[in-house]
Amino acid sequence: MIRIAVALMLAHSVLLSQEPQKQDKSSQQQRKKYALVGGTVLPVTSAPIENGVVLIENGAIKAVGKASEVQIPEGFEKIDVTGKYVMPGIIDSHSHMGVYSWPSVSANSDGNEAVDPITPNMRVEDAINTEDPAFKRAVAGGVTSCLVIPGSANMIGGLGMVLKLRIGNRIAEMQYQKAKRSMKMASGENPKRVYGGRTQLPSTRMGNFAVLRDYFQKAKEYKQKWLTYEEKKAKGDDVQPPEFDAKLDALTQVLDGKVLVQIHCYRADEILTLLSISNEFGFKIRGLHHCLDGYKVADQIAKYGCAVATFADWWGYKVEAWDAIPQAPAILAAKGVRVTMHSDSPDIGQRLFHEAAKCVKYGMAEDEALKTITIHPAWMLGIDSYTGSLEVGKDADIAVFSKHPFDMYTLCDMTFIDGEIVFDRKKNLDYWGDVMGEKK
Amino acid sequence: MRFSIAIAAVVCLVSCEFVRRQDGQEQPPKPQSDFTAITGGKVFTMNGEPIEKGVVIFEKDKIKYVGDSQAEIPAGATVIDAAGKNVFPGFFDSMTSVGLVEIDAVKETRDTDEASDPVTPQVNVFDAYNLQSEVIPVTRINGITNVLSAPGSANPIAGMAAIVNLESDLASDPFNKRLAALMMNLGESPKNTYGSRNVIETRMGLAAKIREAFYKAQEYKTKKEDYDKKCKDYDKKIAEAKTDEEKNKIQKPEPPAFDMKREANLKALKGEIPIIVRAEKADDILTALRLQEEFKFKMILCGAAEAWKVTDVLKEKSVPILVGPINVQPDSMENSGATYQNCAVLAKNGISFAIQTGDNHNVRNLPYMAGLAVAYGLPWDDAMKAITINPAKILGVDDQIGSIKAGNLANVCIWDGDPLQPRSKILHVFIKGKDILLESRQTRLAKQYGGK
Repeated sequence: MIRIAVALMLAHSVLLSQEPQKQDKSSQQQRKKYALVGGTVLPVTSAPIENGVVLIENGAIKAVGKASEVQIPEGFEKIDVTGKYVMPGIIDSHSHMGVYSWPSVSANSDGNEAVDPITPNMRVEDAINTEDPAFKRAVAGGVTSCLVIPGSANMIGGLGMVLKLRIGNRIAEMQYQKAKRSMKMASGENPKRVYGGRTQLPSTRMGNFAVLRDYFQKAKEYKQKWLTYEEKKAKGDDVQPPEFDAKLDALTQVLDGKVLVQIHCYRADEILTLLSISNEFGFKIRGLHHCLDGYKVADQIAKYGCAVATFADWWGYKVEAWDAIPQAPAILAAKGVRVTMHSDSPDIGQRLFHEAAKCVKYGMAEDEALKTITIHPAWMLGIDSYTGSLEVGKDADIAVFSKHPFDMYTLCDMTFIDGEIVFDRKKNLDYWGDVMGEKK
Repeated sequence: MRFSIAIAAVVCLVSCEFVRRQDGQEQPPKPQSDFTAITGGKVFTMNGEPIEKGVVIFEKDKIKYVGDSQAEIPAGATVIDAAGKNVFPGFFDSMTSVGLVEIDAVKETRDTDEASDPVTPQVNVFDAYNLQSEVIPVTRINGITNVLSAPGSANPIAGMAAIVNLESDLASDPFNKRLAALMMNLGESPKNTYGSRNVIETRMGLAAKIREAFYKAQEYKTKKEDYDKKCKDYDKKIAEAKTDEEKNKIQKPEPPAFDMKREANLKALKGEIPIIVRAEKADDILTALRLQEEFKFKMILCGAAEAWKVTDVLKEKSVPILVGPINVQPDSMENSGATYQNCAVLAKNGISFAIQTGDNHNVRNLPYMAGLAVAYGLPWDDAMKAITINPAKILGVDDQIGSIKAGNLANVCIWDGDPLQPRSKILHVFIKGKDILLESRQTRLAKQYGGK
């Protein structure tokens, strides 16, 4: 009896000792509430607001409006952003941060499993180095989300992942859980150069598309085999499952529409072939990447309905980039195509607002240019219901700039992800490489 | 046989395509008198304070006059009203490979690196410069009128850089200076080129190779001087000789064998031309300084991502620097200290520098690279000098370009705002006094496909 009592007392005391820990966790989960006041708010999906207010609560945007119209409740920490610009956090629709992390030595080269042109079963999270300094630099450039994908050595490179740039966390915490995965594909000079250089298939554009069609046909048949098996099993038939194939299994996700499709392409004829192949096999392309000849087939792309992730003014580095023109993003946008400015490099990845500014230089309307780094990439990544604009209920993914984002002398002063300050220019000096501050 | 004819035909067709598409040959020049006068604009001469409502007068290819609105405009001059606009010298990108690479991925169009031998001081950019490059029109329509075009970074001693006006007329001579500088490279790039061939694998090997080449050049110089002395002696003895028999006995001196490489290196060692040394890492910058100490050549540093770490030495030795690319971020082992603040630190320490892109197809973004430096602490005035008068002075062509002054080439641009802002528009580009059509293959493609 006494032993039971002692045991119970011990158990009770253990339980008691656990309670204070529980309390600490829940207080950590109580996030700060912020009111960004006095700045020009650029919601992107609605008109700019002079002397605006943005309220942040529980990781989401609680209110957006004029200072005269938005009441700031008790418990909201006011952040004075007078003279500054408050916009949605920038979204990079094409990044290799983490899979080609700094320093760029062969040991860190993890973005192209270039042993076979078809590797749909590769997954970027198996390679992402979450400590890549490039992530810090991106956050210091106002980026809150990015799509990390394999490179373009392979016709089908593998599954990419949307991340929220929560620096200092492991990959599971960085993954944007609500976002669909994306399958990365490529065409053109890169695959045929990589494999042609080894006298392997593909070494021509004929080879490129032959390989692609071959695998999609196989995936179609694989999918059917499994469907037939499931049907028969349900009926009670004694059937053996088909042999598992990792590549075909991954491709089935494309056919089923379970993952978004992002394709690297350049030449006009190639773009049309890709649209046609997608129709042939019954999947939808979400984003055409680089797509430098896209302006020549803008009508077809607009009709198809996919987005285009591209450069502002890169050209001339390959034959397929020879016809690239800086007016292309404006031409595509005028036809109703969702155009995004992507980085494809950690360098541009922290200055995407400069890319958008160049779009304006070459003929794009300013409000449309702002969309190229916010709501359009959000759509391309399948996260536009959750982020990419300053709207009530959306994730509080916000960037505060010292001047208009298209002003050459602007700096990102603060970055919020899910309502938390992940970057403050005055405090996080190492994020953007300050050397003058240290010398003080 | 048929196959090689077919290849030749394809090459002809392809090169004809490129020729046919070249700007300048297809468009008639804008009608202009011998005199052009730009009036009413704010003239940023780069020689002192800007002139409000200034007047700039060209006569043919040169600037004849810069002054205030009191100036008398020559009769019949083409007058350009620049009221409310800004007048700048054409910008000068002091490190590019313009004209040396048409498409990076196509070997036939790459002429930057004579990597058949690590020491090639005798090869000249002016022998490879492609006047028909599409990069030329694309670049100049954003206000860059001059570039230094240099050999690449594969060789420790790479060859002779040239300075050009961005003209595309095959009949013109675009060169401001054919032999502008000898190019030297330290660090990872030459190591990577020659490491795989087991020719140079370490930084020790790199510096040793350079020293060897310079010792040989010095030895060659001594031999030449020796020969000159012997010639003088010989002439003296011949003059003193009384008979033909005596004369025939006097031995005629043998000249040293002509050595093209040593001749080229000697030009630099004698100080006739500077040596531009590419180095990013602080230690490599110090190696450059050490070599300069040993061989006493005129040195200009280039790249210099980590220059901000060694400002004391740079200031002490008064080494001018061609800094760039400004957007360099830590990505290799040798530029791990890269920061956007590099220029701001150098300016603070009173070190003379220019801003360069180190690029080719993207030289047109030189103003935005300067703008990026301004965003990170470089005063605007310093940024403007860094893309005009500073590179001109550093490279010894300030009597031709880099500022708006009488006697310089009429390389001048008119902007509707701050040229470092992407929302500003360029209105006129004058190169050697010619009002250049603001067109390129890209603007024509844009028009064709419904763009502006």
